Amino acid sequence: VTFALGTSMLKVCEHCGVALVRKGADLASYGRVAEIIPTESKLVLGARGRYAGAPPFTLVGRLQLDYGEGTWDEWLMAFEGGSSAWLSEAQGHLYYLGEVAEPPLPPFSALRVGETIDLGPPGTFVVSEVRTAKFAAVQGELPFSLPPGSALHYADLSGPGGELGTIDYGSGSAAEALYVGREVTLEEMGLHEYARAADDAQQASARGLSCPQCGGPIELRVKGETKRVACPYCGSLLDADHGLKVLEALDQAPTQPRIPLGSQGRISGMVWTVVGFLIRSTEVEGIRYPWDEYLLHAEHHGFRWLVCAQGHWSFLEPVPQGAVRVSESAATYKGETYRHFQSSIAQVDEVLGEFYWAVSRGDVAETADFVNPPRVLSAERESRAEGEGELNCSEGAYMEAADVWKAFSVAGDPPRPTGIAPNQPNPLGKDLGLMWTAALFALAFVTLLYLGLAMTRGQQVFSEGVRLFPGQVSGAVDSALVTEPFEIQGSGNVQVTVRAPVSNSWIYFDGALINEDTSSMDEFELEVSYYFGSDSDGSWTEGDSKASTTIGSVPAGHYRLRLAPQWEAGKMPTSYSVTVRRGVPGIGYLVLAWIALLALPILAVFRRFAFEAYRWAESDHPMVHTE
Amino acid sequence: MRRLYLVYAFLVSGLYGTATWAGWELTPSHHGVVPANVRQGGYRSYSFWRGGK
Repeated sequence: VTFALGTSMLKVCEHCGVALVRKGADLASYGRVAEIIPTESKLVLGARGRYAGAPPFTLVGRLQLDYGEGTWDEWLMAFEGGSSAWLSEAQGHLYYLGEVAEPPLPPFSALRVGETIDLGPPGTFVVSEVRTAKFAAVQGELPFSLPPGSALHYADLSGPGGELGTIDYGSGSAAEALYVGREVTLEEMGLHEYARAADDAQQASARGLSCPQCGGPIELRVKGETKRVACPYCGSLLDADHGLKVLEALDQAPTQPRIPLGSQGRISGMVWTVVGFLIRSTEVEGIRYPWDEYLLHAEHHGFRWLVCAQGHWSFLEPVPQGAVRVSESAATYKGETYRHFQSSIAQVDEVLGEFYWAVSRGDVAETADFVNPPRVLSAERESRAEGEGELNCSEGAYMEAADVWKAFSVAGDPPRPTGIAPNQPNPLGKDLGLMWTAALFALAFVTLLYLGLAMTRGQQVFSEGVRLFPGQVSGAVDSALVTEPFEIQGSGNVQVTVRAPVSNSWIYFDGALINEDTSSMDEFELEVSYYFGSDSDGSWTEGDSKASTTIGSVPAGHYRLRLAPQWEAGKMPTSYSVTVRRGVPGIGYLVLAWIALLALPILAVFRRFAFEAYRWAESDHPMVHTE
Repeated sequence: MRRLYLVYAFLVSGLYGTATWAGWELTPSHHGVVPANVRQGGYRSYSFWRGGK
């Protein structure tokens, strides 16, 4: 027996299948080990490759782990020169993991999904999964000497830039090794030649599948990554890892999705195939609220989710847990902040099609949704016994139902959305800022125009003081003033102002501005009144010693002003004066312009608030509290 | 919506500019023509009185 790696502790004899372990200078036997469980692995023992400029490597060991709902393979890479690393193969994806120096790490029993761990130079990682798997089978050699069948504790970590990590706890509670790496492709690893042979074999095995429960034909669209299949004819749940073994038999036709399985649609420039369909629900105050989730797949781009709740659609993609920072009130991802909307317990009610994880009806997960409309970020924590569990995050954006229907060429009309979705864009979201910007510019324009005209255009064209003598009769023709002609240059409005030293009395004028060139006239009335006194509340005044009126659209020309005064009996003022100005901008139109410009933006603010209040009424943080 | 408002704001501003420049007034004055005999006999004696105090 020859060990390829000096650090290897266990090797399975390729001739007799007996597992041998190093015990000092000797070898001990664990006896024959179980056969490798057939999986969709694309790799073979002895495959040679090269990674990132490192010396060539050979796959010298295959560790098969069973987590209770399926198996995955870990391949031991032996580099020329004696170093080693792991190539983890799960759901058709490959992850390169190299051992790094471990900082102080929490014991397995203290680990919680979602917590962060500072790994030192690799950065701060989020615990995405805490689990115990069974050492199911082995081929080749391994760097540890645990007997097959042992329970192995591990925690998967997710880094801020999509990196991956694994803390290996062996069969104890203390961390034994820390591995950090990232997802890789067969091409990167120089292993694509092996993959082609594997793909051909998989294509062949994918043909002619049928449901063992009802006999209906089963088409696997994501061969190699599918863990569970729910028969589209009878709904029975089948184990794709074990030759479509029936896990849960059903004999009723499952609910058919509105977008049929196998449909293809283009979203974000990519063609996606509908491979799975879930109906999930959450219960709030005894009422169950269901929603639909479509699992989409595209070759080389993985999986996405199309979620439909109350007729509102969102397109989401899984994101690395380590790139998401979650608190009770908010989550951050790629520098964007998402407000917490709702936390709930979601349950899987119906399953149809194929899935890359071991889904079952009745699966429950704690969900927390965060929104930054139109974007949404969802964190789901699946808890298992004794602190074990898994965290998954997805992020996406709202989609119009019509766009979904068009993308997948679905016949008919999409279901009409009801209510407001957590991440539905506020129809006045972007409009509001632009409306207010436009309104402020327009307000500035009209105000500056008013001020500019008031300062530059207003021009006095006539002024005269008039004395009243005892004996003059109020309202009499002889008391009327007819001015000398004066010229108004340029058309516009004309303001007539009268000042009179009235004291607890009034003086009233019938006035006329007479155009001597055309004989047209504009008649007006003016009253100057001023009263004052004192009472139990103190002194008071009312009125003013001047009054103005403005005549609009007066053409240029020569004018006279006629003023016929009347006054209170016995209180004739001694004099009055009159001033005529042209081009005086009125405040009335300015006020109207302000109202007209501000009315719509203010209305939009109220509408926007009402929309948000309606949206958040369904959340854990309603804006308006009702009893 | 925002385009509509832009057009609306443009129209309101333009209307205000026109109204202010042309000297429009919200309350129109009582417009008339002075009879020929008044022009000859003098404005003082013509009764312009409309309401009075």
